Amino acid sequence: MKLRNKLTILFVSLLAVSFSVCFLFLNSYFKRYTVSMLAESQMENLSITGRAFRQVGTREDFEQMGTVARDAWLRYQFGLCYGFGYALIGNGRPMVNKTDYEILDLSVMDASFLVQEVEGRQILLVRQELEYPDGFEILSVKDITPQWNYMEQQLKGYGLLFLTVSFVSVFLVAVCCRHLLSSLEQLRRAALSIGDGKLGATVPIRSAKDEVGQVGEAFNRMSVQVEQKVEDLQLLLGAMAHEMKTPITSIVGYSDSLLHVRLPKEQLQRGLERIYEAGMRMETMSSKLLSLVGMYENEAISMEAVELKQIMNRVEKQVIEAVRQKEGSCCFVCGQECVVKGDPVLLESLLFNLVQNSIRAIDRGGRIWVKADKAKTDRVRVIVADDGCGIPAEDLPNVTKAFFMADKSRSRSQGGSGLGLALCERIVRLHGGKLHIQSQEGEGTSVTVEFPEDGLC
Amino acid sequence: MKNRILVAEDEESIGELLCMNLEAAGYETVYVRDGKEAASLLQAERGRAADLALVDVMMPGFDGFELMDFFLRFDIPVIYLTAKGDVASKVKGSKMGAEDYIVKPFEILELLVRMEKVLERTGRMGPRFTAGSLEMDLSSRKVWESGKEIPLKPMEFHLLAAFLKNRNVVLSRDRLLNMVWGSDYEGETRTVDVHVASLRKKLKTASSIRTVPKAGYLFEDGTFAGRDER
Repeated sequence: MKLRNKLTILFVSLLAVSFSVCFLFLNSYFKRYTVSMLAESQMENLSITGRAFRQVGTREDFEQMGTVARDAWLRYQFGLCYGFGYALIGNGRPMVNKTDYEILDLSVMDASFLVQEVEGRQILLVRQELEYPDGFEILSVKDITPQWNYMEQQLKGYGLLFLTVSFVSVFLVAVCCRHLLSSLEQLRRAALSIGDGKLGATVPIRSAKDEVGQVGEAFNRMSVQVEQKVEDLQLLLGAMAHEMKTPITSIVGYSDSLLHVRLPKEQLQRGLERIYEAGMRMETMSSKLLSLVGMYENEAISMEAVELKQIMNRVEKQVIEAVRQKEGSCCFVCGQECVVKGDPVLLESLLFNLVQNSIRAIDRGGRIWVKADKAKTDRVRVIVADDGCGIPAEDLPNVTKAFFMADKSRSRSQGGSGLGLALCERIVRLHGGKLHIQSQEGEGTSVTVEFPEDGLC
Repeated sequence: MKNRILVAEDEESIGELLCMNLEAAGYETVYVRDGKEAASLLQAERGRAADLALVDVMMPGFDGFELMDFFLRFDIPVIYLTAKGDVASKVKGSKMGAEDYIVKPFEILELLVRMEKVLERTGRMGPRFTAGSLEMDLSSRKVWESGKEIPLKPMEFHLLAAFLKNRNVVLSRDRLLNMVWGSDYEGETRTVDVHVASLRKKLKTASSIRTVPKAGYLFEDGTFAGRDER
């Protein structure tokens, strides 16, 4: 069953129960009130006439009279004093009946008044003892049908009012439910369309303050993020396929030549070398890609205190030969107490990639500086700078994208895969740090890695 | 006279691959690594720069499409090479005046055949081919060996031409049938063997036609063409 219907039904039943309780209470209270008001005024009448009866209808020798005489006297006097609609009761039995009704049994009347329905009319019976003489009562019988009907009509009016109010509120509730739940319905449709592969579906937000609005907002954020992620992955895949083309063309072309073309001996050798090179290039690319995509996705990176000095020493050993080949210089400086919390393998890879980029950037005789220090804010910084070719300003925002190369032929001719900085950025992000790249074309590049404060040990 | 091919390709390994094969097949090559080099070469040597250009679309400097102006001005036919296999750049290339389009990775023989077609279509295929003491003239359909004319049947002549145009490249029997007899010829591959045998009988130079087991035939030519590197 739909939530909308459930809510409406719940509301309707609550409303019905509360209204009927109210109505029942009102009904009985109103009836009792009306009847008691009528009875009271009747009693008032009775006591007034009772007092008059005592003064007019009794005699001084009344006490001395015999029962028969007394009764006859009373009957006579009653006929004079009381009009139509009254009855004289003596010893529980009717003595004079000036009503339209036959008085059958007075014992059912235990209270002072009672409403009886006789032949479709409402009769109010009121019974009151005479002040004097003792043992006699007056029963008044009054037809209160008009008042009764008026009261019933009023009650019906109230009932109708209740019903109308109920219907209107049920309608309003249904509309409100539909309105509120339509956001949920939109959410459902958007989620379904994402499920069907239409990424990036969002829902309109009516109000950001209520829970449904918040869910919608969270959903939208998720949707956009997912779309972005998938887009990034697609771009990465596309870029990767594109990057694979060159080594694959090399491998296919050279092996085709070796198989089907008669070549001079030295060129045969050259072809084999080229195939090997292309294979190695794909290998570098695939391992870097693997670390880029799959890196520590499922396991937490090991966070231990790492001394940057040691990392720098290891990287220096790895790059020294490459620097020498370019007749350049590479200067490693590490300040006191440069310790960061992180994964030593990843940090080494980070520094190595940055220095390798610098080596590719510098011309013959260029210089590279690698410096680690503690900034004023107590954060540890690592700066890798060079006086190489630099990065054009318009390319600067793109350099951390996978497979982006500012100078493709320069990068490729030196074995670049276009993945180094993307990898570096990821490593820095995993450590909660920041990567800043400053560059001036033709003058050099400076990359700063800033580790977070809480990364300190 | 050997046809001169301009190879413009920024990937050195692929540029070298192209040159290596073209030279083996009997073309002279000029190799440039980017669009700017290509442009300055064309401006310097004008129409003499090459008979045909193999141009990579994605190149630093000027890309392949931007270079088209130069080639059109100096009347050099262009075959584009690119990793992009999409229809859009194919259409753009041919709209701009490219003769053909080949997608990486490519087969060497396919490239050679396409180049040959373009050269023939634009009338740049030298009518005379030589190999050792052998000489053949495509326009007059005559073959001489050591100055003496050798009579050949039409199919033998076309077969020999196919070998001379694709020297040092293994040609399978199916491929030869296709190239010489045409794609709708429903003959057996034995036909090729028969014609090769009769060529070998008629011409001494035809001993250079080597049988490559399980692959086909190959016309050996030890004199590899030179490369002009820029």
